[in-house]
Amino acid sequence: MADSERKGLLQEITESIPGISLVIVVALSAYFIAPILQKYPLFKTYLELKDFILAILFGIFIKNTIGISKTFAPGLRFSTVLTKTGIVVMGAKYSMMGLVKVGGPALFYIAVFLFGTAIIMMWVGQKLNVPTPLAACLASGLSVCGVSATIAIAPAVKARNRDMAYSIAVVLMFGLLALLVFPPIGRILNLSDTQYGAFCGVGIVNSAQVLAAGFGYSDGAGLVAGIYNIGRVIFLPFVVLMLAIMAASRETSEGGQEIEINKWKMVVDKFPIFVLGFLGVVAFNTLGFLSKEEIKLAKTFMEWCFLLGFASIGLTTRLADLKAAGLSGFFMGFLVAGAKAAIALVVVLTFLE
Amino acid sequence: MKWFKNLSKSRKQDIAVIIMGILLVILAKILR
Repeated sequence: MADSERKGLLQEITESIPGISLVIVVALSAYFIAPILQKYPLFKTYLELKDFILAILFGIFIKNTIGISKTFAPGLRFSTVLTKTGIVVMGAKYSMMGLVKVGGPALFYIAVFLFGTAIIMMWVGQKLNVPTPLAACLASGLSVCGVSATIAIAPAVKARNRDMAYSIAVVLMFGLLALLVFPPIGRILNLSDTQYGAFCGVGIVNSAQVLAAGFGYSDGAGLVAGIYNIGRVIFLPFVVLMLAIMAASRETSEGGQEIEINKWKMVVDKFPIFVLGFLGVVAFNTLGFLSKEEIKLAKTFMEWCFLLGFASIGLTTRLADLKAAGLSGFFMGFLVAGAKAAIALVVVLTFLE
Repeated sequence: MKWFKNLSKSRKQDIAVIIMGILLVILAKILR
């Protein structure tokens, strides 16, 4: 390795220390405060705030009230890495049989909701005169998986940074609302772990928020939500491809420049290969390489990866991004996401036990 | 290592995630 590269890496690590320390402090605060809140009837009965949800809320509160200086920024970039690492480790909690049992119906529901939401979003966008790049970003973000899907579609539809920031903010804000509203809905309707996990996996799109809402309800619901989340992520390249084609044809029909799409390259480039790591760990567990105690410790590692990742997500969520674009995009995003969540609830109540 | 350098940032991130995840599972095996 060249000397300059080594210095660069060392400098990067040093610069990340303040941000990482802040993430650890927020995660630890959520971990220790959550059980204290559970002692109060309000939080025990109505507003069940588990550590995962608290970590996101604390982060958002700090970011949008006190503010975070630039010194912390380099250490706050690891939310996706931490959440994805947690998902790979989560494989230790599944066997191939269990995965197929829950994953089979999950893939069917996810496919219907994913492609349905994306198509409806593009249609509503056209009716509300939302610009094509913003509509495509919102459609991708609200159907597949918030942040990564928005980033994946942006270059294909020539979206501006503002479109991306806005779409990500709408996705995260809807997820935040869902984090607070979904658990009481689950309790009131007495949803089983499978029903609630599927409800979260379909109704919420940001991976961190899906897992936080699922594990915030129960461990079983968290594991079901995890399978739905992975199923959704697998569909990412295909939904992005469909949206890119739809956006290109809309632009062309409106007299804009023709956009060329290399379909095969897009699917291969966007495929989330970390899912293979998750499947590898599931296979490892299915072959009997992990004892009960080892799985328990792996689960602790998974929970800390999630807790740190969620704190990091909260610390980078800017509520002000919502003001960046007009009301139509916000209205469109919440309308479609809300309708999708309501339909998802009806579907899980009707078809799942 | 040339192939690794040519990969996109998200691909490199995914490979790092797989390695870290598997290392944590191995760590769980070693510590128990």
